[in-house]
Amino acid sequence: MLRFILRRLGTMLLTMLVLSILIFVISEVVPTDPALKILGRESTPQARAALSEKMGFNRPLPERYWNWITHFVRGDFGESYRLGAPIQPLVARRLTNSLFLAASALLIIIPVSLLLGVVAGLNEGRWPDRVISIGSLLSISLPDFVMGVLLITIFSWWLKVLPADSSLRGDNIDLALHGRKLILPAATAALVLIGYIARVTRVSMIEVMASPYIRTAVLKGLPRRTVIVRHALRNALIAPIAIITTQINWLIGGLIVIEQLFNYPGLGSLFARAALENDLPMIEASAMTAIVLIVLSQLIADLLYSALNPRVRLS
Amino acid sequence: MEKPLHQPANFPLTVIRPRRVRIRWRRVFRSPTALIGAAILLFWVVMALVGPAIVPYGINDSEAGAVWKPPSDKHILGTDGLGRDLFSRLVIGAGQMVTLPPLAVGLAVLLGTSVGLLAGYRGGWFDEIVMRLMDVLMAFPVVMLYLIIIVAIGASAVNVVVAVAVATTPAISRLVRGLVLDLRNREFVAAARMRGESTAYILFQEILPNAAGPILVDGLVRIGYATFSIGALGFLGLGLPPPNPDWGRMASEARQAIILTPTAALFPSLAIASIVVGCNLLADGLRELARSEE
Repeated sequence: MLRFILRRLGTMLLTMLVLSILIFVISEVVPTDPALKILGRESTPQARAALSEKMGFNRPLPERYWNWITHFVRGDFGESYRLGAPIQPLVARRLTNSLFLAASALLIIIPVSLLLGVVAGLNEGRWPDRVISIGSLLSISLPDFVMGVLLITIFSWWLKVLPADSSLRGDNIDLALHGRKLILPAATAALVLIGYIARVTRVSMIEVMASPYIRTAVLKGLPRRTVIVRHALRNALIAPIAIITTQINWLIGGLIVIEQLFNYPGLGSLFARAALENDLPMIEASAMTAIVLIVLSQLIADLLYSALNPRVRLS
Repeated sequence: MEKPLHQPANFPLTVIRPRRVRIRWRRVFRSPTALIGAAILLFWVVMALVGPAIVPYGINDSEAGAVWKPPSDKHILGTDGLGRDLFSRLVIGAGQMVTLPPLAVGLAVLLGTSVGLLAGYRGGWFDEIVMRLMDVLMAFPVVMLYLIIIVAIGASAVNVVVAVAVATTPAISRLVRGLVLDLRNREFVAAARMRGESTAYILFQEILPNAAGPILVDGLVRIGYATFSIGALGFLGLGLPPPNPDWGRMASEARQAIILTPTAALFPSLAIASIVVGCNLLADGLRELARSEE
């Protein structure tokens, strides 16, 4: 167990290292003159030279990378060029909001998708299965912003029951105050994933129900309910739960479009704005933050998963 | 040096290859799923081809006072925030949506297949390092990767294709490597090796043709994803620069008026969705056909 965790920590650090180099190279080496990128073509050469001097763009690359990453590790994310303010508090606040959104989405995804998948799997080929399967196909095929536009049209324009705008005053989330604003973006993120996970659950359920140990349990005369709840579910839910853990990546770093659509002040919309404004320090800091979080949560998810599934050897 | 093969002494040197899983396009007509998918995709290709001849307005003709209008006789899909005809813009915008995603995926298939073939066939440290690297890349949230690349190289048709191709390559190389690992120990590959064929011959004449079916079907699904990614880039304001009628950008511009006229955001969104659905249906249908032929 200890060896497993140590090894995982090693790969984790390596992953973060490689991705940090990737982020650095794409954003500071690929555009030959980062100062030009930030200031735009209309800027004067003097202004660009001054900025290069201030941000250290004229230093050798390894030194620049080392400076950036050591400051990042110590929690010093530098200063946003556009806002002229320190990045770290902003990223921290936006990250909290994003995590709230991801958690709300998960709260919908887990019960709904597993339930739908199990029901479809138990009724293979019959109408509940057909309805759920068509629904899943739609959910898989509709891109996130299309799903969001549909939900806004239905719930905000037609039924007028939920707000289409999820911006928060002061960017600080307060569930009592903003709970309603979280519903549509969370539901959008959830709907995008539910179809996929329900499909995996369905197949897994069908496989388990066809296995010899379930036939034994049925022939033993156990009631169907007991067979399903006590015997089948335990095994059938392992695959879908593994799939859910692989989606954490998207829930943390991929909700950019959904946050942008709903004007939700999360890390994703912060990143999107930084990208539009060529705010390099902000781009690097928010991307790296997302990656650290993704890698860490992946480790936690793996540990939980192996606790759930004793067949996974921790070696 | 090839590894010695442990085969029985009377092992025949000419082994019949397994029948290639080939997509028979005429049989597409037997699968309603594939047919619907193909029809949707064909619709947009035709739109892209004849569009410029049939649109009632130019993409930048704006009508004063006709801002965010819902569908009417004059503008069958309504107008946008500058009073431009939505139908005309949607039809003209189809051009880039049917060309850029296949180009991006084509490039990614080329890159991913090369990496996957080499890694899977050579194995060893090369495989280990390359595949680890691909795993690491796959931990990067895709939309973020697109945005970082586009910020670095700028938004243009070529750059959007490059960004999507780069982000799609790791997954394809993983798929191809898996297929190669399965195929390289089959008898027909062993036979080719014993005949003394070159590595290139074995990779391109023996292994690749047998892996082509799954790679193509997977590529089709990825064309759907690429369409949606290009739509997302446009939506975030980093797609093709205006005045190109970019579906994603049209949807995001219409966002501000969504409570007033949801149709302006709805139509471009549904257009993107229809291409994704079309690709998925066609791929599903082809998979069913391949399965029923086995």
